[in-house]
Amino acid sequence: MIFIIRNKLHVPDFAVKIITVVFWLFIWQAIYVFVGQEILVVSPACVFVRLCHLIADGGFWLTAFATMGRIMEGFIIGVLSGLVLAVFAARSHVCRTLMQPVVFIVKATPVASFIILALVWMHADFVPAFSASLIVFPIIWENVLEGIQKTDEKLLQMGQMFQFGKMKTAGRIYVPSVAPYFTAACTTGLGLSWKGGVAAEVLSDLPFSVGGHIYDSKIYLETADLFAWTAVVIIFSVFLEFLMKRLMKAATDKFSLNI
Amino acid sequence: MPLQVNDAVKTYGSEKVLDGFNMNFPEKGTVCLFGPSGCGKTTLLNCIAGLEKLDSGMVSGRRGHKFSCVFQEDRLLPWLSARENIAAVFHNRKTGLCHADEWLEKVGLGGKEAKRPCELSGGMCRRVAIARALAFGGDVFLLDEPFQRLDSKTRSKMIGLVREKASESLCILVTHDETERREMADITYILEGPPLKTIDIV
Repeated sequence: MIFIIRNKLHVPDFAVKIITVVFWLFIWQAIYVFVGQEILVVSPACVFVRLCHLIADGGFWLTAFATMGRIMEGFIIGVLSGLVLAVFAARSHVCRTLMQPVVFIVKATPVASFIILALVWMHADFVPAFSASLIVFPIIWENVLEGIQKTDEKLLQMGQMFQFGKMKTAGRIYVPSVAPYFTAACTTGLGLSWKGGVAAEVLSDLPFSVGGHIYDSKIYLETADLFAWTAVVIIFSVFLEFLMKRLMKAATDKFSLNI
Repeated sequence: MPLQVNDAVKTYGSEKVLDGFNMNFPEKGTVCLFGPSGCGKTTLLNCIAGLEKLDSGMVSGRRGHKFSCVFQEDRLLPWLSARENIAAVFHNRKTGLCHADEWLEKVGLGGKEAKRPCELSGGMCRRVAIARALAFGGDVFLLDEPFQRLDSKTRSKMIGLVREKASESLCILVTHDETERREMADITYILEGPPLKTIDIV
């Protein structure tokens, strides 16, 4: 029998990332050339220039950080409430059964419905945070609950045998077991909270908000502005996701060793 | 008060693993539960440890005893190093780490302190599990096939360590290995099942 071993071409990760970015920028440019109307699609270069102008403008950072603040507020509320209620649900069958329809309804209801209802119920300032928290909550609740339920029963028996107690069992067994589920839920939730939060800003037409600028660019048909503000949302979202993953890894390692 | 299993009944689904099972244990020494795989030895051990509840019957004399266990599987925490796995069974982490180093040296794993279970061989993980149980100490050692996956030389060394540490304790050894039984047991219950029953005492 003849075995053929192929030498795989090794391309460094960094190079792969650069190639990916260049590839998609090329596709974007190709679409721009093909469409040929700036009102529909603007070129990457044009968006970059517009983005530079926006950054140079005095109100940019105020707007960007105000939006980030609202969304992070909603994200944190969603994460904390999802986490606490998932722990209760894991401990009590009644609590789990009570929560299930709420989570199902929150998941199935269109974001726009929540935003419009929220605009009726509360001041527009709170609507982006409220929408972001409602998007994040069911994701965190379901994932954390699944993580707790899938914690290895044999490791829990081991903890019981060696008299770990509640705190050590939580820190040494539950936290590391649930951490991958929690991290994945936070990563997904963070991206979605930006979507929901900015959508709420668009519908609320808030001052000092990225959503407000996106709404204005639609009114005045400023497609370059629309693309540039969308790029701002993407950049902030990616940066925060990266930061969150690093922080959570460090926190999980430290917490599980210090209990 | 010595450990006693009285009229123990334990059912999984439709299968009765323990059906009115009785057994008395001495205050100290090594009692070997010897029988084929799947006859219900591990279930009995888990019920003695209080990790599983009996459907009826009772295990008396458990109160006041400190139990330690080498499980059939290693049950090491995969996210902790060998050293941290042993230290985890101590209330004080610093004391635990000192004991962990000492016990890892004793089981021949000096230099492997920082390795996580996935970086150790099956035999090495087994030795960490044995070291953890011995470091924790106790009056009653529950040893469920503790020397599986060990070569004969390492096995003899581990048997020596267990005998030394548990000389004043009760050891309940579950095995189906004749050599282990001969080397360790003071009393052997020869079992078969399910449902588990004693067919001879040696």
